[in-house]
Amino acid sequence: MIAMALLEVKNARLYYTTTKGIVKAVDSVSFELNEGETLAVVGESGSGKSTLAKLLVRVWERNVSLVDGEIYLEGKEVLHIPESEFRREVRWKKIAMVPQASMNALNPVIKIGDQMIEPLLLQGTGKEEALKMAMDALEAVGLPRDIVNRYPHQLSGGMKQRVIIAMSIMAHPRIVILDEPTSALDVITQANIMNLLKKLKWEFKLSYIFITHDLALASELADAVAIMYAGKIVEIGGAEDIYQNPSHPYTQGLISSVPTLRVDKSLSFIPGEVPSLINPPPGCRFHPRCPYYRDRDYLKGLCDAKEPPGVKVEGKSSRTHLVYCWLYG
Amino acid sequence: MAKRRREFRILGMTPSEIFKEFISGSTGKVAMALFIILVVVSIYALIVLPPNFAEIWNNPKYWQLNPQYAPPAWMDSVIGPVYSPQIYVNNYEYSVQQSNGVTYITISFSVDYKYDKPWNEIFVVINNPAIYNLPQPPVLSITVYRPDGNEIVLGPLPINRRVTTLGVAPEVMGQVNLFYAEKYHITGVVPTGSSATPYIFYTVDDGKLTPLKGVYNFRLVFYVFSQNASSLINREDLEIVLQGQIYGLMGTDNEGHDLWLGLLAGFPIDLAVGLLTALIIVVIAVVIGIVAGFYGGLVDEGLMRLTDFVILLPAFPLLIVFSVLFRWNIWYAVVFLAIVSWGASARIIRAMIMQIRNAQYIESAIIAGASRMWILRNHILPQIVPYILYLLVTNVPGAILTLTSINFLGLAGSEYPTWGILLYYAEVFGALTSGYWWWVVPPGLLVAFVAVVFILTAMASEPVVNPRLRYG
Repeated sequence: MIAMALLEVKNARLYYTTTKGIVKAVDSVSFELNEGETLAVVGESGSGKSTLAKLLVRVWERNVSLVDGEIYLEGKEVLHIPESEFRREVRWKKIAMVPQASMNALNPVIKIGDQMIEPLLLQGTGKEEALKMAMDALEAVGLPRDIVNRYPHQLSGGMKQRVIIAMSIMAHPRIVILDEPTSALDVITQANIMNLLKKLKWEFKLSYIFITHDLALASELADAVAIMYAGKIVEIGGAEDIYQNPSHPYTQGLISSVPTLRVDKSLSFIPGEVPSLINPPPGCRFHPRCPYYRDRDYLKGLCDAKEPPGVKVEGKSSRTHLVYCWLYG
Repeated sequence: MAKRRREFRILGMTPSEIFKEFISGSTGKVAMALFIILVVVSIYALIVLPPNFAEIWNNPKYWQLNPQYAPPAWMDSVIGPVYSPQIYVNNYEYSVQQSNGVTYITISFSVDYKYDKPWNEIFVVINNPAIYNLPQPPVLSITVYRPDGNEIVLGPLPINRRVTTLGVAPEVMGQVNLFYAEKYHITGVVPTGSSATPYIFYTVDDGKLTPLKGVYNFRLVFYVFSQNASSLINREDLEIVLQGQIYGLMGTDNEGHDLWLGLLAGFPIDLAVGLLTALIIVVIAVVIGIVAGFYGGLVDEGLMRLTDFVILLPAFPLLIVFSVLFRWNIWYAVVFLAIVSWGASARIIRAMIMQIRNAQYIESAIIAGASRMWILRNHILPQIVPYILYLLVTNVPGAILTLTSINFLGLAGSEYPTWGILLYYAEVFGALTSGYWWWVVPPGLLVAFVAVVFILTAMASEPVVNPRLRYG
């Protein structure tokens, strides 16, 4: 690859301590995000995708026990720089996040404008200027400028979501992490938001990390897809390759469980559930649920013992298609 | 940060907006009207009542001219002229004569007696101390010209104290009895121990005493045994009072206290007591709630166990016990009540802060580099300040009711009459069993009224406190 990746994550790990033990929420995750690209991170609930997002903007709960790995943003390591520097230089300005359940991300008794400019004020931007930036951002997401004087309860769910998106692009970041940005919205609003995101991407030359459990939705926006399972990426590659040639058994299961309109087929599902991240299965974490492991004897003693290496799969897109599975090892 | 002038806002609303919001509903209008009445009456009470009102109230001499257990004066306009009213005689003729070293001061006045129940007593009050310190006291003689043409001569009575009570003088009792014996051949009309005064206004009809209605003329002659003594008994120093059977706006109690003044005095003191209790409750609750909710962890755990303890304390029994043990007055009771009543409010504030603290916007603010104080000031206080006011309002009626109850038990009293103290004396002197409703109903209603005012105010302030209710 000629151009340096905009964001490069190497062996990122984030563990939590709980009373029951250490939760390996993100375990040795590596990927790259290129300029102008949208990477969808897809996985079931509890697969660590939201934690990955929090790791990228360095927002984690107090009970974190381990943060490890390297994150390069425009070639500069940012995971281990001081928090104050990260806050000043990186967060909001380079990498911003639209949090999950962002409908609840607004203080009900503070005006939209005052909430939007809070991070800017805290970083020393003057109020006038901050307010102007906020209003510009609101305009960009298709809201009237005078919405800064409204209270959250006066807005609809979709409008609130737009406000949150406006907040994320206010300081003109390079990367926006969208954590389930449409999960609580009805389908029409969801479609509107998706179109808005596409528009913003062109307008502001953004790169997205789009976190969702919805493969179908991800296909709307994604240039590349990473499939997460139990804190690890099991497959990553160009969107076309993943959708048309899903290689990992988990990806295949996910894709076949997407409902289709008007086609009368019974939905398949993956038996079992996401394993506990405190005590993940040894080897490939998917093996207890894997149909191939169940059927093929030669995989016994392999999948349940050793972690699968990343294997390149031939694909159409320019992005490397990697699958972490012993079927290809 | 650039300097900017902050206009005064709560919840992003200016005071005038809050006011508009408050009175936008019908509850708000009623609450506002009643609240204004409450405040105006309290201020009126503070202006009208003298500063030493407590002293006056507790001085029985001050009230001795008033009838006891008298219903309100407006009773007569409801049930017709039954009870004679309290009359302060101002409209009298005054003349002075001198002869042989004696000054004669003659006072004449008339009253129209048209009631069923005559005046209890006639008082002659001389406010000049010089008069009853004379070596030889002046003497008063009274002639009553009755409508039936008869006259009764009463006295002479020595004037040797400030208030001369006509009917209880032995001479007068004898003279009245004599009158009935001579005219109607009935003896012992005036029962022993009662005043003779009412019997001046009776006649005997068919062998029975009946009120004799009509105009009575009184002539009072003071004999002062010195020359030129008219200055000793002049118009300014002389009061003649006919003690009626009804009195004032709200009647009287066992000591002749004007209950109207007592009820009026209850407004500022009951309000003060209620507001002070609520204020202390809210201050403690806010401090505990914020510290517990905001700092969490062991601090929270400790404070919440303390709160549990306080909630479980039986406030009212403890208040009774301590009031008896330590002879507390009402202000001690206020402080104690507040100290044992903040639990629930603190819980609520803590819960609010816990909820706010874990909200995403707080997380975002922390991520953006906000300090604890920033978060407290910009995110937490704006959300709880209106609620603090709300708690203040809601805690008032409970405090007033509790303190009224403890007063009603005759505990935690104050020099100033509270409504609870009025009710206590009403109970002690059997007001309910004797039918003295004017002594029981008004203070009870007023307590309820104040409670209702504050509850309505709390209800009406809900849309202000909760922005989500505003445009619904």
